[in-house]
Amino acid sequence: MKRWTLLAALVATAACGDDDSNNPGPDAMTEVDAGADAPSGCDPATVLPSSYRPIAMVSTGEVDVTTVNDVTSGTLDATAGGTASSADRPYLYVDLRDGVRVDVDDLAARSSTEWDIALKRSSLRVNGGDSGPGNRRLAVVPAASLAEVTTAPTDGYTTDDFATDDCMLVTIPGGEPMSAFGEWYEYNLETHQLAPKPEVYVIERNNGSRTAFRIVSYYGDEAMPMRGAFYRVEWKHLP
Amino acid sequence: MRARLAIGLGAVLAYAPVAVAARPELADEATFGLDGGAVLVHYATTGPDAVPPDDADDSGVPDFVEEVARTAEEALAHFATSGFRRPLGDGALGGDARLDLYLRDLSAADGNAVADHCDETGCAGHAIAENDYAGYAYPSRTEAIRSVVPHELFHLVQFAYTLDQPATWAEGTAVWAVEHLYGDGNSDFERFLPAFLGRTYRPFERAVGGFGDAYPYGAALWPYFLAHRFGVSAIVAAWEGCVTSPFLDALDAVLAERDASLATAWIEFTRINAFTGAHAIPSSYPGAERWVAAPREPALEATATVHVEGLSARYVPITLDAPMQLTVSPGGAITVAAWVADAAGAGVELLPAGDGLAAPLEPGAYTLVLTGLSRGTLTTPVELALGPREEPPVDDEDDAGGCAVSPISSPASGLVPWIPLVLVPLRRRRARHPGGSQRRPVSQSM
Repeated sequence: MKRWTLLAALVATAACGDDDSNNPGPDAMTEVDAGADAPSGCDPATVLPSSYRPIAMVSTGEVDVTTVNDVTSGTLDATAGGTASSADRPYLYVDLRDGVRVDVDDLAARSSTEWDIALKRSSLRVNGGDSGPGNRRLAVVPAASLAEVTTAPTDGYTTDDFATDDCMLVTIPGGEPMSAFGEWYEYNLETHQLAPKPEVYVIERNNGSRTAFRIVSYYGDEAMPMRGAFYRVEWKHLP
Repeated sequence: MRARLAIGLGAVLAYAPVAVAARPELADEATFGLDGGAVLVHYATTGPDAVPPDDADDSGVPDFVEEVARTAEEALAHFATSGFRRPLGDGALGGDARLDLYLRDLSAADGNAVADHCDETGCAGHAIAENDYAGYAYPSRTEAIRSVVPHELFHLVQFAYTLDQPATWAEGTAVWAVEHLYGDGNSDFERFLPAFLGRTYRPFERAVGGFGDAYPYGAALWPYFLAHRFGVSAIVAAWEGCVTSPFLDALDAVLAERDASLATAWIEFTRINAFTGAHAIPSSYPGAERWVAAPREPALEATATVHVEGLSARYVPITLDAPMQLTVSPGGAITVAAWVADAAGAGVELLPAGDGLAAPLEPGAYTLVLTGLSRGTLTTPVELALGPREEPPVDDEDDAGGCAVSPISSPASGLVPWIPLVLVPLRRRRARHPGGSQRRPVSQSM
């Protein structure tokens, strides 16, 4: 077993007297109450796991999509620096209406209504509920292809809800914050690969517009087929 | 399931929630356990899970399996001797009452621990470890076995307390347990350290989710520090406390019994961590010069903003060629402590001043250690500023209340050896200068 003589030599000598403090560290801390809690008394972002906590940085992930015959398809780079670094990188925020990245950091995204969905590694979120002020809701439609979904469901919409009323974190089995996407993938314990479930996600905005969104693959980089979180996706706007 | 991350292999699975799962099925399974031992090793003799067949001693049992069994027994005995609970018995699962360790051809993760069933006393489970370590980056088979087998068995020890602690504590103490068992005889702890020491800015108290991040394993440095600072009994007691409390609350209670607290221990921890890698000093952790250095922020020139969140630390270099006043002003509802030290580890605490903390500095080269002490806060800007001194330096000879802080090379008489420097200057300074006046320039201590 290792032994250390650590810190004994870090003790300082001092020509000081009458020291009656036995707990000096916290005495020298400073606390400034400049924040405000959410109405529930709990800011949902404060319960997010470290890997998905807000980062004061704007994602550089590319949104590379094209639209043909009203179907937009392409890739969303939510690799966030790879598995070892992603905890300290931000979500990629996407506006599905215009097919573009929204350049906000995780903190600004909390007050932005511009983005529809956010992606970081295997965590997907929707701008509503605990994730943001965008009033988006999402319905999960069992469907293996985008073409199968021609109209929006009339019910079944939910919003992101990863913090309970008593400020406890709710996650899906992989540890990602619970969002309206739910458990959107199957995890293969043998290969450790993620496979999207045969689902289409209908995102509804508070102006009534709706978009049907499908994840084709979590490994959408044709040049690097094992590169996770490089989503190949497709979507279309519904009547 | 608690899974061990496989370093350097592009592993993706890190810490899935603990699951209750069926026992593995192995092709042409054989078993082996040492006489009188507590562990039964299950291994395949054919198929992809088969272990290396070498049997140099002609015992009829592969040498690999024998080494696994010996390692397992050694680990369990060590954990019990250290004061930890023994893993709960699994009844007759796996064939008899012994703990079951299955050897399988795993991918990415090189081991995991699985709960079989739980009751009011805890959970019983079994462990799974890699069958041959082929393709893994370990320098030797023994190194691999010593890294993985005790780690997974320590998870079974944890199961005897609770399943519900976060990965930073569960994985961190499992890696620490291996280090405590083998010390220089194994390097698993050292391999994982960069994942923690390189990310000291992360909020330690937050849960960890997702895949492939070794930070919770590198967090073994925290129990490593605690064990040496407060004794292994503090780790044991903390796990006992985890039966009813989250681990940080349990730790706070345990440390309170040792005239400390979570906050004071965390402050010490973050300050000691400043002295690793290229910044190591003889009085730091043994071998700290071989560890990665805690990340440094850009050097502070005049003003800067750094972000602090949760239990964390930021390290900011400061070089002065004239006397200056350093102020630290949090911009939100967070609690921080700040300390400025020179390269030899002698330093001074920043004391409350206005809405923040401040200290006068003399010319020299320093590192500001900014310790985050809040739990569950968002990343919050903290403003740093160097400005004109608010008071003239105090004359040494005439300063009846001043503090001459200096590093020492031998224990100071009258001081408890384990009182680290990081706390001493503050006590003195607060006692002597409650109004913030007559502060002694830090350079006079160096």
